[in-house]
Parts: sequence; C-alpha cells; structure tokens
Amino acid sequence: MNKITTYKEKSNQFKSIFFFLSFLLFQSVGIAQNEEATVDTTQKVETEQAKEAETIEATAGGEDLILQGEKLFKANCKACHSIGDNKVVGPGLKGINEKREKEWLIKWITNSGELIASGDADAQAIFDEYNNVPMPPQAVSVEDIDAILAYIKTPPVSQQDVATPTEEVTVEEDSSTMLYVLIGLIIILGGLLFFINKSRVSIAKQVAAKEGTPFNGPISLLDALKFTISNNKGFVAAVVIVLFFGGLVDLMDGAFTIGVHQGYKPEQPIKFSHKIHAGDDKIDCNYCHSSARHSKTSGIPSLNVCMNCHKFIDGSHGKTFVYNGEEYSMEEEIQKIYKHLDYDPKTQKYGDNPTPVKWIKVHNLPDHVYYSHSQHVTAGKQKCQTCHGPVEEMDVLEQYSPLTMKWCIECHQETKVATEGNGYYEDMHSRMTDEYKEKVLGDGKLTVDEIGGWECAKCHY
Amino acid sequence: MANSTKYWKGLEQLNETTEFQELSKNEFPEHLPVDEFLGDKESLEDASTTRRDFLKFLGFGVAAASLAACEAPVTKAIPYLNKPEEITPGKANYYASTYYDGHDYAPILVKTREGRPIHITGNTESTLTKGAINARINASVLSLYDGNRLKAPLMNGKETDWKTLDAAVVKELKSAKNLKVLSSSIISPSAKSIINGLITQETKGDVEETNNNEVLVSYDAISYSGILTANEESFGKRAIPTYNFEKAKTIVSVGADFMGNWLDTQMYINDYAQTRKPENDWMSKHFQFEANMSLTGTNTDVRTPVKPSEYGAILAGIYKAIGGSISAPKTAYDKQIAAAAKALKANKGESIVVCGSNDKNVQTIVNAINNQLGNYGKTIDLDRHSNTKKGVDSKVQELIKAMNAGEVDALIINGVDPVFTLGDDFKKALTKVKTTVCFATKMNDTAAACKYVAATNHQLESWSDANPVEGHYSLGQPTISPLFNTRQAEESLLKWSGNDAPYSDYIKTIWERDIFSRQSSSLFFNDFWNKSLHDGVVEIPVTPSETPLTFNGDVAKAASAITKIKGGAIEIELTQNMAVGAGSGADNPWLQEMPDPVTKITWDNYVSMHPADMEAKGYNTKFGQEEAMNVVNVTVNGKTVENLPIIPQPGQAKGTIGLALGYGKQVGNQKEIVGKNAYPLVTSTEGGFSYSGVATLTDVETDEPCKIACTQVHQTIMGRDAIIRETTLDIFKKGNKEEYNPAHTLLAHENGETVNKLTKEFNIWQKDQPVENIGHRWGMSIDLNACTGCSACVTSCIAENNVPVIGKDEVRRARIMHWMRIDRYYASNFQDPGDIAGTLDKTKKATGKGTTFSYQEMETPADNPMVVHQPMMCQHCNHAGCETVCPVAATTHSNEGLNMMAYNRCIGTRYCANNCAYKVRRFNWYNYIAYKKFTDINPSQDDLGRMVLNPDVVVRARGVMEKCSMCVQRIQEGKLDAKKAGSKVVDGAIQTACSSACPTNAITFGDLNDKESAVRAGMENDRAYRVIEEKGQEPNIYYQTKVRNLKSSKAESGSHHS
Repeated sequence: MNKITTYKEKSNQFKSIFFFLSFLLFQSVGIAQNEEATVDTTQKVETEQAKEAETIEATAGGEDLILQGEKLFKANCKACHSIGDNKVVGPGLKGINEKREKEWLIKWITNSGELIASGDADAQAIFDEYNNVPMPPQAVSVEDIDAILAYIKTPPVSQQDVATPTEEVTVEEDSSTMLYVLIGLIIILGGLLFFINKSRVSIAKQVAAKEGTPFNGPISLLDALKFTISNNKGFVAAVVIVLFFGGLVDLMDGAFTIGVHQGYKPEQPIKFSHKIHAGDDKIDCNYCHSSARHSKTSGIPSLNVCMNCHKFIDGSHGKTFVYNGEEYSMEEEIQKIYKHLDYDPKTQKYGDNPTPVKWIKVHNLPDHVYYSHSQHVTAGKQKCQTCHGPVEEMDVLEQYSPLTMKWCIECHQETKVATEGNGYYEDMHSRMTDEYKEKVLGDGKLTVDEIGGWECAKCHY
Repeated sequence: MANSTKYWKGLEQLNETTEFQELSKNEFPEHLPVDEFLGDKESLEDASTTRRDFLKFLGFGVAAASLAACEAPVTKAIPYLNKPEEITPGKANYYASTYYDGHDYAPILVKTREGRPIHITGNTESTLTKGAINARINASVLSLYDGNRLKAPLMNGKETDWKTLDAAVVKELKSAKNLKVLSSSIISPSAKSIINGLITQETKGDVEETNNNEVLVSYDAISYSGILTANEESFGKRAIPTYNFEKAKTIVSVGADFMGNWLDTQMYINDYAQTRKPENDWMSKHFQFEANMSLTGTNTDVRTPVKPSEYGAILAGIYKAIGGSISAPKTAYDKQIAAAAKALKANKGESIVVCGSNDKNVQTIVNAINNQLGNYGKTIDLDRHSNTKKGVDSKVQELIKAMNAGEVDALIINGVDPVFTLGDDFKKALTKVKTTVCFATKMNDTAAACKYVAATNHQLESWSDANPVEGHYSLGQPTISPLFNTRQAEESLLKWSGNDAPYSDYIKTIWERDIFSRQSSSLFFNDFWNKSLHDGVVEIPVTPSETPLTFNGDVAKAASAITKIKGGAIEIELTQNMAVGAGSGADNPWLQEMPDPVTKITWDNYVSMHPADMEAKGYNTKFGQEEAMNVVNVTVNGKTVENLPIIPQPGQAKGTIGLALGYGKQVGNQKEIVGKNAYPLVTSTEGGFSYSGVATLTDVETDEPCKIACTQVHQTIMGRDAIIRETTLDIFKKGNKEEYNPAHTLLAHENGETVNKLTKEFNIWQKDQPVENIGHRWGMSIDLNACTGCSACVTSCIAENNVPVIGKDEVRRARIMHWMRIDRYYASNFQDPGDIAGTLDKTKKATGKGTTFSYQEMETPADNPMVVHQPMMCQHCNHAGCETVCPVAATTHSNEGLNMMAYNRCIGTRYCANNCAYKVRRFNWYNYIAYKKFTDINPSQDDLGRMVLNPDVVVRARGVMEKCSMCVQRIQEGKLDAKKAGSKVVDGAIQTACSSACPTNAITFGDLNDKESAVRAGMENDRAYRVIEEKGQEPNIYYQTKVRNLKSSKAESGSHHS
C-alpha cells in the first residue's frame, strides 16, 4: 500500500513540477503542489502480549497470593480504583495497607454503607469526599481481600513498566534532496559540456593550424548550439512541437489536480493517533463516529465520547507514542482533553470554562456536493476503509482518496448495490417489467450507476 | 382552446397592451445589467487603464487564482464538547410547539438542525387546525434571526440589565395605585394566571371576571368586538363561536375573508376544503358578498361585489327571505340575495352565515339568521367557543379616556403596538401615564414611547401554553436558547410578581392543577406532561351546556340602526393581506416578497380600485416595469394617509376602494419604510372601531414615479390557453369525462384523410425516459378545487430551498427567484362555462387551429371575474424542453422522473428558461448573498440571518439557473430512510416543502409508480389533466380540474356577472 501511495505522490510531484514549468511557459506563474515531506514511518513495536507473557513468567516464582490478588483486583476493583495514587472513580489504593486497619477495610469493602451508618468518622470523611457516592458492597471473601491487599502492596514489578516501545524510524529521502541531486547533476553535466566544448575547439583549432586553414567554426558554447540548430532545423522544430504539445497535455493534466488534496495530512491540535485507537486497540470506527450510520456526516466525536474511556485511561503510566514521526507523551495529550473540558481528574469535576477543540478538517468536499455517510455505511454496507484507506495504520489521518467526481463515479460503476434482504429493493424490483429486469439485472450484477448513481441530483442539490 | 372561458393574468393581457405583448415575447424582459457592474459610462471612459496594464493584471490574476487554488484551505471543524443525546449532527429534529401572536393561532412542528430552527409546518395532530398554517406562521422562523431585534432590556431608551430593570419596575409597580395591563388576547392559561397573581393585591378578583375597574384590557389590532358584543346581547355569552365548516352545505359570507384573515382561519380552511371535493356526496355552495376582491372571494362559487355600507341591508334581506321578521331596506342585489336565501333555507342546520363587519348591529342580524336556520349547536358552536379574540372596543376606548384623565399611573403593554395601531390618540394618552412598561421583541412605536422596554424572546425561544378553543390545549416549547439578552414576557411578569420559578415550571404547575385533573387518558402527571409536550396538543372533552341557546337579540333595533349606516361615492374597506396580516409580517423580507395572492404585488400596500372607476378618473390602469402608478392621498373621517399608489383591481365593487393594514414598517436594514400605515383610517366610533367608511381621494403630483413590483405579468405563459380546466358541478356529476376534461387531440393525415389523434400518440423522441416501469417516478397531483391561493407553500419553498430575497426593485424587473408561484387567473365567462367540449369542437371547426375571439365580446369582464389559483412550479417533464437545449448538459432527467439541475455545471446561457413552456426557471442575475445592493434586504447576507438556511440545499451563485427540484433533498432522505429500514417507501412519508405547508392538502406528492399511492389516485382521477399537455412534454405534475358549484345553464352564471 505504501508503495502505491509513494509512487502516486512521486508522479504527482513530477507532474506538478512539469506543470509548473509549462505554466511559466505561458507567461504565468505555475502552481506549487502540496510538497510536504512525506514521512514514511515504519514502527516496530513489541507487542503487548509478548511483554505480558514475560511478566507472568517473571513473577510466577511462588507468589501465588499476589497473582490471585491481581486476578481479583482486575475482576472486581479496577473499574473504579487504581493501584497508584490517582483517583479513578474511587481513590487510588497505593499504600492502603499502611493507611487503614485490615479489619476496617474488610468492613468497608463488604458493606461501606453500614460502616458509614455506624458513625465511623473515617468512613464518613471518604463518603463526603466522593460526593456521597457510596462504594457498592463487594461479594468477596476475607481470603480474597487478603489476596487483593497483597497484590496492592507488592504488585509485580513489570506492571509499572515505563518501557518505551523500541522504534525504528526510517525517513525516506524527501523530494528536496532529490531536487539537490538533480541540480547538482545539471551543474556537473553543464560543466562537462563546457569542457567538452573547450577541448573540441582546441582540437579543431589544432587541426586547422596543422592544415593551415584558419578556424572559423563556432567557438563559444552558444555559438556551437546555434550552429547545431541552424544545421538541424527539422529536428529542432520537431522537438519544439513535441515539447509544446507535451506541455499543453501536462498543463491540462495539472489543471485537473487543482483542488485535489489527496494525501493532505494536517497535524491536529490534539495528537490523536488513529493507529493506536483503531489499529492497536481495535476500537470500531462507529464507536466514536457514531453518526456515520445515521447521518450525512460521520461526525467528529464530541469530547464526552473521549471521556468514556479517558476518564480511566489518563496516560499516567507515562507511555509515549509516535505521531507524524515525533514522539509525544500520552499523558500530555490526554491532559489536553481534560483542559478543553475544564475537567479536574483529581476532584473528578467539570468546571465552568470548557473550550472548544478546533480540529482541522481533513476531508473537504465542495459545498455543491451532498455526500451522505449513512447512505454508504448503512444502506450501501461499505467499509470505512473503502474511501478512507487504512486508517488503522495512520497515526496522522490523511486524505487517502482523491475525492474527485471521477473517483466517485468510477466507484459507482463498479460497486454492487447491497440489495440482499433489503425490502426496499425487493419492492423496487417487483415494479420492473421483464424488459427492464433483463436490462438491469441481466448480468447478475446491479451496480450503483444502474440505480441512478450517476445522476446529477443524487449528489448535487 | 380547450375552454371557452377566457383566462387572463391581468388587465394587461385582457387589454393586450403593448407592454404585455413585448413581455410575452421575451422570457427575460431586460438585458444584462452590465452598466451596474462596470459603473457609469463616463468614469469608464475616463479610466486610465491601458490595454497592457489590463493584460498584466489579467496575467497576475490568473496566476494568483491558480496559486490560491493549490493551497489547501485549512478548514476548522468544531464538534460539540458534550453532545446532547437527541442531536445527531446532520439529522433534523422536530419539536411540537405553538404559534400565537394575538392574530394567528396554530399548533406547529418546528424543524431544527443542530439546534437551529429552520422550518415551520403545521402540527397535523391537532383536530382543530388539522395541520393548517399560513405564510406568516411559516415565515416567522426568519424573524427569529432578525438582526434588528432588541438585544437587551431598555430603560428610558438606554440599554440596561435585567437586575436594574426588575428593581425599578417592581418599585414603581408597587407604588402604583391604578395598574392596567393592555394586552393582545391572552389564550394562555398560565399567562392569565400570572396576571391574576400580579394584580390580586389590588383588585382581588379574576382579571376577566371583574367588570368594574378591570385591570387586564384585551385589545386586538383587528377588532372582533362587534361579534363579541352581539353574542353577549343575543345569547348572554361574550364569546366568539367556533364554526364547523366541515358540516356546512351552504356558506354565505358578507365581507368576511374567512379563508384569509378573518378570525381563526387556520381552524376553518381545511374543513372548508373538505366540502369542496366534487367526488363527495355533496359539495358546499358558497356565496360571497364583498367590496374588495378578498382571498375568500376568489374561491367562492357566486360572488357579488357590494359596498361595505350595504352589508347590513344585504343580511337583513337574507333574514327576511328565510322567514325572519324584519324591515329590510331595498338593495340592488335582490336576485343574489334570493339565491343565497334559497340555498340557506334548503340546508337548515347545515349552513353558515358570517359577516366581516365590526358593527354589533350587523352581527346581531347574522346571529338572527343563523338562529333562524338552526345552525347553533350544529355548524356553529358557542359552547366550544374560541378564545383567540377577546378585545372589546369600548374597554379600549375607556382605557384611553382614563389615561388621558390621569387615572392610570402604571401601564403594562404586551403583544400589541397601540401607538402604531391606535395612533396619536394613544400616544398622547401614554404621556399621561407615569410608569409605562412595554414587552417587545423589536423596537416599535409603542416601545419607543415607553419608559421600560422588557425585551422579549421570539416565540421559538419561549415556553407557552394555549387554550384557543374550549377543550383544546396546546403547548409551546423553545427550540433554541435565547439569542440575545432577552426574557419572555411571562417570565418577567412572574418575576415582578415575586416568583422566581422558571416559566416552564409555572406552566407545569398550572397544567397539573387545571388540565391534568380534567383528563382521563394518563394516570400520572409526568406521563401526561411528556405526552402533551411531545404531541403539542391535548384535547379534553367539553360537556355541552344543558340550557339550549335562546336568541334574545333585538333585531328590530339592529335593523333600524343599519338603515342609519351612510354610504358614499367612494367607500373604503380596510383589509389585511396574507403577507402582512395585522402587521406581524411587515418586517419579514420573505413575506414582503411573497406576491399577494390576488393582486400579485410585492413590497407595498396600495389603494385598489375598480378599473372602470380608475379610467373615469383618468388614472393609469396598466402595470409594467417602468409604468408609474398614480398616487393619491386617502382621507377618512378627517384622517389622511398620504402618497398611496392606486392600482386596478378587477372585481372590486364599483365605488369602493381597498387598502391593506399593517404596512409602514422598516424591513431588514432598509432605511426605506415599506408601504404606508393605514391604521389612522380606522375610525373609532361609539360602536367600536370601524374598518370601513366614506373616503375621499386627493391626487398627488409626484416627481418620483411610483413604480409597483407586481409579478402578475411576469413569466407569462404565451397565448396557450390549455392551462386551466374548469367545469361546473352538474356537468361533473354527469360523469362524462370527455365533456369537462377531454383528452388532447391533434390533427393528423392518415391514408389521405384528416383524423384527430390523441396527443400521446405523437412522439418525436426516439427513446423515452424509462420512468414508467422502473423504480420511482416522483410526481404531484394538485387539486385546483382545494387550492385557495393562500401562498403558505410559497414561503415554505423559500425556507426549504434557500431562495434568495431580491427586493422590490429587482422583483419589478421580473427577476423574482421564487421556485414556486401561484398563478392567479381571472376568468371571464363569455360563453356557457359548462360546455367545454362543445365549444372546443365549434372553435376547432371554425378556425382549424384555435379560437379567434375578440376580447371585446366579453361584457366588461373585469367587473366581476371568477378567479382560479394555480400553483406552478417545475413540471418535471419527461420530455423536457429545457433538457434538450442545454449546451453543457447541466439539466438532465433522472430515472425517477426528476428534472435535475446541476448548478455547478451551469454556464448561464439561459436557453433552458427560454425553452421552458411553464416559465419556471429562475436565473441568478446577481450574487444575492454577497452583492452590496442586497445587503439591506437579503437576510442571508449577515451571520444571524444565515442561520435559517437549510444546510441540505446549496446556496446558488451568480450566473446560474435554478428551479424547483421537487425537494430532491427530501426525496433522497426519504429513500435513504426506507433503505436503512429495509422497507418500501411508505406513501406520504416524503413530503415536499409545498405539500407539507398546504393547509388544504391541495398538493399531494408521491411516487406515481406506487400503485397504491395517493398521488397515483390523483393522476388516474377523471379530473386529472396536465398543463399544456398538447405540447407533449409529458409533465409529472397533474392538476385536477376545478369544479365550481354552479349550474351550466346561463341563468346562474348570468346572475354572477350582474
């Protein structure tokens, strides 16, 4: 996939340079195509699973209780508590063994309400601190609690790993390097030409001197060129004509790329990586872009959707990630969400001064095009990747498709309509006379253009 | 050709003026306005730009443009921080609400997109209005985004904050000895309760119960005090009854425009239309006596033009003719009176007589007639009385007197603009009041004269409840947060009475207490409330009063009072039109640009007069782009309104003039005031406010020619008469389709003989568009019998399709952008109206090709023409003329029968418009959303006004054609919904903007290929025809022949034309 993209980009760049030159030819300034350095990032990240397996291996040395506790903690406690000192829903449990009596903890865990009702001052204080939200009674035995507490006391070391993924970032030669090489080559070739000419003149002069005739051939490079041209008029004319029409064709070609922003890849105010969310974590596209199924727009998720997960995943483990070839701290980026929402993770309260996130729109369709996501996603049963490309591999989201009308209608010509089991199409087909049935359905393939997918008013109104 | 009746759009066509003939030859009456782009010629010649410079600039421009095009524009996208659960971006939400502005009432459905209300239609859940709205209600969504709205409360003319205002007002109200509240009729139970609470400290009684020293004075800008008082005297109940037009077989209206602006039009119009279906067992017969050509008058069966001073005498005549004992004065209309009385007598208990006069004596006779006919309790219901009009004129007059005497020291004004409507009398009296508080959404004359102005919300930002008719309740909910620092009037009153609860809570309390207890459908209040809010309307059974109504009116006294009504050489009748109403639409650009249903004039009010009267006075009776109308001053009872244009109105009673109220306000940011305020001509008499009287006209010499923006001769359909089909009920009932709706035939030569062949057998198209047997075929069926011409569809289309407002000057130049218009044809019967087929044969034989009659043959047809309203929009022809001539294929045909228009492809040759037989294509002469000429007039030019635009429809640029798309965005959405649900498109699920707004369901939209659909039934109906079908363009819009409840004999049609 990368190869194709790169090739396409290259050819585009070449075209745009050529187009630029040809435009100059027509007394105007050419266009500068979107010449962003393309960074091809290949990451070699060790898989989490492998690491986890290692961890288990390392801690398996007889500490069954802790392992047991880990299991129980993950099953019963983790939704609301961390083993660090950060709040999730309830308080972080780091150092809980030292802070509280075991008896008290057992009472609290099995029935916090009773403990509060009994007038315990500590219990009341916690209850107050957490906005009178009680901790629900947990169905765990005393042994279980022992295990959990043991786990909290000495969690397996690798659990707190701060391992940065090993990455190998290879940056391809960008086009500017190519340009320098090209310029260098031209200079070298020019110099070579110059010296060849010089030696040609000196040889010719020597030959002439030998023969005793005066030398009256061309001396300078320019004269030599003029001489050659005047002696090969037909050839020069042919070259000029070819260049002219070639330029014209390219000008046309180039004009078609105006306004096409394939590969547009802006950095976003929050360094959101689709690769991590859709690729590594395998979150369904529709989880965040829920309106894609219902509406014309796929919808940029509102921050409350982010908070569904990021209320708990605050990045405090200190991991980093790669975005547009650079390394960023997860915590810092997640903090940006909190900042925009004016959310305080310590008190878990939202403030009064939330600020909007100004995302940069990647896919910009012109106003005169009506595109409906739900038409394609729900009715047409298309995968998001058909148009958006391998989003799960992109850390910075880019415009994968050209989004030109040509691209639209070509797809409409090839794509089969998702008629299976849809009562709408059954009704439509039942209306057709045999003649039309044969005409439209005869080849056993009903494509979008056959049901009017090429008509103007399907997209323009 | 198919019809002996001659239809004409205006007097120009009737008289075949040279302008008209010019116009009919040119689709575009004017050349490209190049001068305006390039400035005046002189400065152009003086300009020092050389050719070389020009080329340099051109080169630079091209380069800069191409560079700019390459730069990726950085577009920001800002999602919700916390998305409301019910909102899906890109999907519309609908909320049931209520519209009531003191004049019009309707339960409505508000369409919102991402929290912005963008469209209003009627709520079909209501059994009262059955989803009917009018253009004003529909267009009120635009006034929400009016930049001229008050943005904060005012104190002594300066902006202040609510805290300061509240403190000051409360202090002054507390010290007030005599507080009065002057308000438009209040139909909200909650608002009434608040006002009760506000004043009980002082009066200790219900606002409406206490007769002496009433605190709440109801005032309707258009008063119905005459009916209220007459009902009090006749039946002991001061109320407006409800009229069940659904049951009325005979309807006699004397000057009441009940299909336009009389009382609760929205409650009548759908019911009336139900009685006008000729396929039913019976069809109502409607007689109209009136001075102006009203909307109701255009829809009637038998119309008699009479003077306003004769209304009483005509009613007395009818009363006498149905057996009442009364001494009726002689009138010139004995024949028509006898005909009406005969029909009434034949339908006792199944008839309605109404009158538009505000004279209680005249209304007493109306009551006597309805009582004699036994209509009470059957077609007229006083038990389920209407609450929408409560103003009693004498109370208002008393209030002004008390104010002048200095007896009132605090006055709260709500929902009315009395300085505008009552004029200087009220303004002077207002200065005598110490504390004046005014509730207003916009600065108006009254607000300017008041000390405190409590800036109120727009209705779409407010909570409300309503009890328009006994037993019927509706709720209004805000569909957007207040845009400015405003507060709804009820909430202010609540605060001032010491209650800090939000008004929504207050409504809830009142509903729990008063309404929940009277219903039995819900067990818990919360369920009841949620259901009521969702549905918008609640119906509670009313137990009819046990004592039958007894008529106690003094007919003899009323009859003698009527004889005292003085007529005059010129009598005026003040009216309201569909756009402006009592004044609520005056500042709304959509409504100002909506052509009046009858005159087709925009952006003005004017004196209407009979053409013959005008000719006698030497006035210009021609309309035209550059035609200057005469200007007059009108004086009634010593008060004068100056500089009114005077226009010819066929059907206007001779010796009368008409003038619309409500005009004279600023629109948009225009400095110019649109129209003239005619309220000074309303005379305040002992009997109340009178909207008619004797007028004198004074000619005014003006330097500035007074030009009128009239659309009636625009886009004229050239000399093709097979546009309207009309017949009479008796012919229709005979059931021979060939008689009233014959198929079109063309002459052809076959085997050396001349034969008539059906038009559809001729086809020059090699390949038909495959629309019949494949997929959908969208189409419409428009019932000319149901269409009243009210124009709600026109504004609905504007709102849905982002149609630009272009202002008076451009409308005058025939560049109106409306995608749908209602063609109004005046019809003159010079032959038997029934015998269409016979005449067709005769004329064909006589001429070989068509009729050649002289217009002079018609006996002064402008005296009393019949009128047909025909909604006209793109006909989506399957053999469209426009599609074949487009050089760039910007307009093409879809397999679903739609004539598609790709704006981005259009290069503006306008060939299509020239080739369109229906004149429905519109050209964007300017960039209306940016060009400076339209800054003050086109609401889409400012950020606030743009919020009303429909995001599903593109805003067109300069130089492209546009036209009705049959709301393709709605079709696409409806189809998508069906596909997602995996079921067929349910008939009726997709509605176009026009069909959804039509109060009488005259427009049916649907899939013609769906055998069970209503539109298919319309197409297969015997009355169905297509406009200029003989041209073979195969439109997808079907019309239903108009059937009038007349007999085809000359007797009745003759009387019609007396």
